[in-house]
Amino acid sequence: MAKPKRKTRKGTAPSWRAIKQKRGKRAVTFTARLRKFKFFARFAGIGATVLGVIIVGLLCFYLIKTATDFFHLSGPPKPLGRVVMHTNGVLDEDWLKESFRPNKSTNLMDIDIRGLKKTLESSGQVRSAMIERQFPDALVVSLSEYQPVAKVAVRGKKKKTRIYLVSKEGAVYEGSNYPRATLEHLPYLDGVELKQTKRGFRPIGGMEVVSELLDLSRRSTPELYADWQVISLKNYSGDSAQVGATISIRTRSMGEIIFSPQDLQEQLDRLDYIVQYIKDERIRKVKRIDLTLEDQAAVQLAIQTNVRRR
Amino acid sequence: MIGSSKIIGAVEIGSSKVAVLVGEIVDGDSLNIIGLGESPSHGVKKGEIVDFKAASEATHDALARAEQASGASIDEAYLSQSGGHLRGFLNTATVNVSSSSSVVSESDLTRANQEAKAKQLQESRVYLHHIHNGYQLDGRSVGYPLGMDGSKLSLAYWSIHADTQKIKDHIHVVNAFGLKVDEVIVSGLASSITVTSEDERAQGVLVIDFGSGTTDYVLYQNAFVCASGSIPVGGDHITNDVSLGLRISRKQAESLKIEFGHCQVSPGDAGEKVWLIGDKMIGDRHLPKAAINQIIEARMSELLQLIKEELGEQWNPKLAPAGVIITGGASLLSGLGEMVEAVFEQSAHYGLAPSWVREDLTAPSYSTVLGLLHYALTGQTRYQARTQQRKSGLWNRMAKIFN
Repeated sequence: MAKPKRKTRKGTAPSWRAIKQKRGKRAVTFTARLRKFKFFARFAGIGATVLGVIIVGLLCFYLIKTATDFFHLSGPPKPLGRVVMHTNGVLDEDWLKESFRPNKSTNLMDIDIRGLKKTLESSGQVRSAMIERQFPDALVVSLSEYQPVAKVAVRGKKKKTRIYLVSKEGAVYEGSNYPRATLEHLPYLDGVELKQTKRGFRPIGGMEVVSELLDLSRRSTPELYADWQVISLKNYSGDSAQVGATISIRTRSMGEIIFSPQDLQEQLDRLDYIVQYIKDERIRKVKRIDLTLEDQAAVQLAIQTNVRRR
Repeated sequence: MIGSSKIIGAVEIGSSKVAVLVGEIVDGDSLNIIGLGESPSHGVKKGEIVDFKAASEATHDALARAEQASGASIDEAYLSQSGGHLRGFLNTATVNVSSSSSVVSESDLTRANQEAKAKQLQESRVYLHHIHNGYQLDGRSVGYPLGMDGSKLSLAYWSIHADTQKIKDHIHVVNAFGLKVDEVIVSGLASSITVTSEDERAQGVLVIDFGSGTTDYVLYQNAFVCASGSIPVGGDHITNDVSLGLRISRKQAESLKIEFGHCQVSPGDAGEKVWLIGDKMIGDRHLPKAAINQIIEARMSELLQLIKEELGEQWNPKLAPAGVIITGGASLLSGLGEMVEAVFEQSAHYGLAPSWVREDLTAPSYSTVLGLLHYALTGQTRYQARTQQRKSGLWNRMAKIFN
């Protein structure tokens, strides 16, 4: 038995593990090639199956999304018998008829659902429209309308002023079918720069905060809310974190009230206290109440220039 | 990991057959044998590959059959190794205990380990195993010396090394099937693990695996491997001798050996004759039984003496009270047990497969592949190595569709 040499370098004795293994580089036999082929075929099959499932899934999704246009029902065509309308707002079927006047002989299947949806949504007052065919002869129109929180006067080309409504999302639109009382109670919006687009006006930023303020005031201090006339967004672009951002409200009897866009409820509580104090002290002319001074408020009176801090 | 399993392929590329046993190791601590594939061997002589293509064909055929039988793809291959190029030697290292308080520390053990394993081999040889052979502290044998007092720590390994190219050939045959060889284990070690118990190894036992191309042996003393070897003589050589001696074909010689062969010529053999083919048709003839057995006796006696000579002074019947255990396909030769007892002056008996092995795998020719799987199992639990979660669930189910 041959004895090994004495060590020359520590830790460098060769082990069989140092032999480089050539797994799968070249299948030498038919059996090995067949195994390799089966291995890749298996994964190709899995890949094809997964791809097929994805394609079928996407196709189904596409079909479901465009189902009304894709599936053509066979059978005798039926003319449109009735139109059923649902809405969460004030629009009615008369309004709908202005946008959609089908012939009596119009086939239910021939109605351009997409086109009708587009037309209704372009009115401005309609936030979204869902239209379904209800066989055999009905068309169901479900509308979701914008709810107005303010109104804005817009001077047109011929110096004619038109009143537009503003929703809490900032959408500007001409209102239809609203009761007069509803519109009268809406405060005016001032200090906004309206930008015209193809479909009307660009949405006004910051209306969510304004809507929240109006909503809170309407619920917690309704008598104060009733006094509000104009909301000015001159110093408010919609970014509540902006330094110096304020919302001013011109009232009938309390002059101008300046709010910070944050902590609205707390400001309303302070305002309520201040108004009560003013009434108790019988202070007649208040020019401005500034609620933006954190836990203080600056009240400016009309006949005196003294500032009384509360 | 709950439910993790690994598929192990135990591959024995022998001189007469290639056997692949597939086992599933579940959660790293239990083994299920799930398939067997066998194929007649080609291109292998005396345990060494002489024709790569032919050996690959035979091995891949066996691997494919095994995978088909088990219904699973093999994740890892454990490969047995045999042949005259295997050599073993006792590798010792002694280090001084570094601590001033003379207490053996981890670093002392590490240094002794590194020292023992770092001995360079001749060119073109690589280590296959370093089998731990016990510690000595100041000349006395100890179990595990960490924390004990002493000044000189000795560590011994029974190191087995082999010809690099021959190992490469075996590994590349398996690689060509698309499998990586995770472990290479000497056949003698694998088969000895199967047929011996812990008690027998602790008492001292010699295991001889008679294969068709090689005969492997392992000597245990105090539960350590203290000698091992592989002699490139096996059952095929006996067949060859009978074929040449009686001037018959190898096939006829093999048939006669199995049917009538005995390791010792008995007095009753003198006048007895046997039919060459057995159908008593044209071409069939009588052959003296004594002639057959003389040839067999001579070759077997020579083989056993070779083993005894290689063991040298290490063989002491008194140090192996568990005797000699014989296994392997060629061990079924009649009268072998008695001859082994006579040569080694110790009791000899056939190794039995463990009780959990199913009946069709209890033949001595499967002891090597069973040992490889046992090694794979004990290697898993001992070292908690590379538990690879078998891909289950949707991916594997989808893969099975295309299987």
